[in-house]
Amino acid sequence: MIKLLPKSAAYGLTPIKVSNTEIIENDMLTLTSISANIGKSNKLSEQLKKSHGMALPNKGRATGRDGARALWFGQHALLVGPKPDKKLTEFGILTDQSDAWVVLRMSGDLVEDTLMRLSPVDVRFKTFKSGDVVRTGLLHINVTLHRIGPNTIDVYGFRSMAKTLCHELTQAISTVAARD
Amino acid sequence: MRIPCPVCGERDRREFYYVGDAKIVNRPSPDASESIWNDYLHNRENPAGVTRDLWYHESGCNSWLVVTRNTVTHEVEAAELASDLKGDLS
Repeated sequence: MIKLLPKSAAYGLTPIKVSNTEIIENDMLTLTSISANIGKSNKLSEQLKKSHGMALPNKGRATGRDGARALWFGQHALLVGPKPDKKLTEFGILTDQSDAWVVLRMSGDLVEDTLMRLSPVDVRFKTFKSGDVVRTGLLHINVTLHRIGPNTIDVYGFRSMAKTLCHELTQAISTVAARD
Repeated sequence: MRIPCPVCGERDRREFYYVGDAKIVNRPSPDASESIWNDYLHNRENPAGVTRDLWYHESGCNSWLVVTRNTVTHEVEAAELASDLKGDLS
């Protein structure tokens, strides 16, 4: 058999740079969805702390740091980075999501205005703070946005939508840049 | 129009997918009579006033919601998780 090479979800699509705003891919991450068993979310949170150093996130928030994060993900949480400790399965259900998502990191001065054009939620930086997470739409694409710094946002989208997502973001950043 | 998702908070209608009358949450038992199944599958009210619909939070938490709204005033009164109401929908 010929040798197959692993390709990231946005392979060949990034980096994208418009003005001083850049999109790079945060690739080859291990992503695991974590759902607590009924009545076990406190125990699961404690185990998560022991195993990976962060508690389960509150609504609309993320915990941990680059390389090992837990994101609020609606009715469950998403562990981003580390391979999950098997002990977590005592208190919850884990599902590997690594190849299902594309993770894009946008940074630069145009990030805020760009996202405000594309999403129906208020992602102005005065309300969408560092560490905030929101699951919403980006035009017709379902995404999760996570603000990780002053001018930096991680965009989680479905892997199958990676090309469209990069295209829409590029178009929107260019339009915002043209107004400056 | 905004829907107060119990998981995500108040969100724009664009994030949701409309499914239909919330009565489909209350599935009759398999051995229920033909007339009950016929009613469940085919017959719907068309109220001028308060109605309960099933919505899917597609661009959000992916929850199924039962939304109570008023077709006359367009007022959205409540949104609850369908999983909490299953089999218990008045």
